[in-house]
Amino acid sequence: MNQKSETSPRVFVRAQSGPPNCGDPEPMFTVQYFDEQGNMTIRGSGSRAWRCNNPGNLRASKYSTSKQRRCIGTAGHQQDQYAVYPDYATGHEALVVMLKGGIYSPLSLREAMKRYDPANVKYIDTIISKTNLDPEQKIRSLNDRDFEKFWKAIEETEKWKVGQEDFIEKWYITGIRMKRGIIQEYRIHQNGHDVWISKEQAIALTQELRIHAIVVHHSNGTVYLRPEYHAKPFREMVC
Amino acid sequence: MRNRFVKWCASFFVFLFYSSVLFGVQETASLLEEDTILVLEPHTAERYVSITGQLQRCLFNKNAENPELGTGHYWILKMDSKSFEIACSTPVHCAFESPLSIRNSLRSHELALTGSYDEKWLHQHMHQTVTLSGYLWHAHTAHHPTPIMMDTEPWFKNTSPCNE
Repeated sequence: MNQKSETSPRVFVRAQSGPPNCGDPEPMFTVQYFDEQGNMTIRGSGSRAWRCNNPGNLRASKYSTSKQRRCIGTAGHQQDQYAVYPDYATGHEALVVMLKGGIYSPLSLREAMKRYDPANVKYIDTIISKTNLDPEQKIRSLNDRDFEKFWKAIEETEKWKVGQEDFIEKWYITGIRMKRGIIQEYRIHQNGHDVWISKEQAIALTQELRIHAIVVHHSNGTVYLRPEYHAKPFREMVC
Repeated sequence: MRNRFVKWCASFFVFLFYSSVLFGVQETASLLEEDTILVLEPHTAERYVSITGQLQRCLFNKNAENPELGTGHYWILKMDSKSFEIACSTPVHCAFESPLSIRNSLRSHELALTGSYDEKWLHQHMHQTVTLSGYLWHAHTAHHPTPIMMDTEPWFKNTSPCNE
């Protein structure tokens, strides 16, 4: 069912954590991105920065998840949650705004990297070796070219490694077959052609968020589907 | 009467405009647009606070997704309730959270130590309830293990960080 992602960029509106890919360690969560049509793109493996479109590896905080930063969700493992952005440019902007803001810009490069990663005393050495900048220089005194070197060095150190991206289309119900007034089968538009599936299969797929429909659990124990809000009623799709 | 009302409305809107300009200048120092209760005013000295809690040593993978890179350690204080309230209410220069977001964090009652606390002293007092002093700041990158951290030095070495 999984397909490789198409080349045209998608606009993601929501994101959440998913389980790690088979064989990956437990902390290597995947990130599920959803577009406006409900289609899902799963990013797995690679680096955390890439999976979250968060090149600075910013933690989920009031700042990083604010509307101004256009964060679309958070993802992580246990207590370690990170902001997820719709694309690299938005995540990069979150890092740059933070570095240029009143908290980091008055600091020297050395002071800034001590705070950025307190446990890694060699972080500043890595930055200097990549940029040849003066570690005692204040961030706000960097010209545009040097500031670009600086954030590029940070993003490189935080690791932007592309992993695996899988696109999972969410299908629409385009027809139904009924028998004695009860829906028996659903027709879904899958990968460019129509396929008939049983009611049970349709319910299972809807529960996996693969079909545009809503699962209803009746008080008498029966389970059935109904259309999403503002969608065409099923009775208009009888074949 | 009507003219007086119109004049009053005009004065009120002019007042609102200049207030928004003034608050806009103040807000550029903070990354937070709302819930700024923990944002310390620029040019204000940070508070030197004392935090009490059980001292613990935590191991971490230098890269959580790449355990082959080995481990490091950091120290935390599991704060008592009074210290927790101090942590949730002390304005800081490095402000990324609000009191509510700190309380909602899974590790809300833990405070990681950074800076030059005496490592030998920390080892000697591991698992004991101790009181340490320092300057608070908020976590914001993957390398910050707890929502509130405490350093031996203030975020800005002088009290006038915005020497524009």
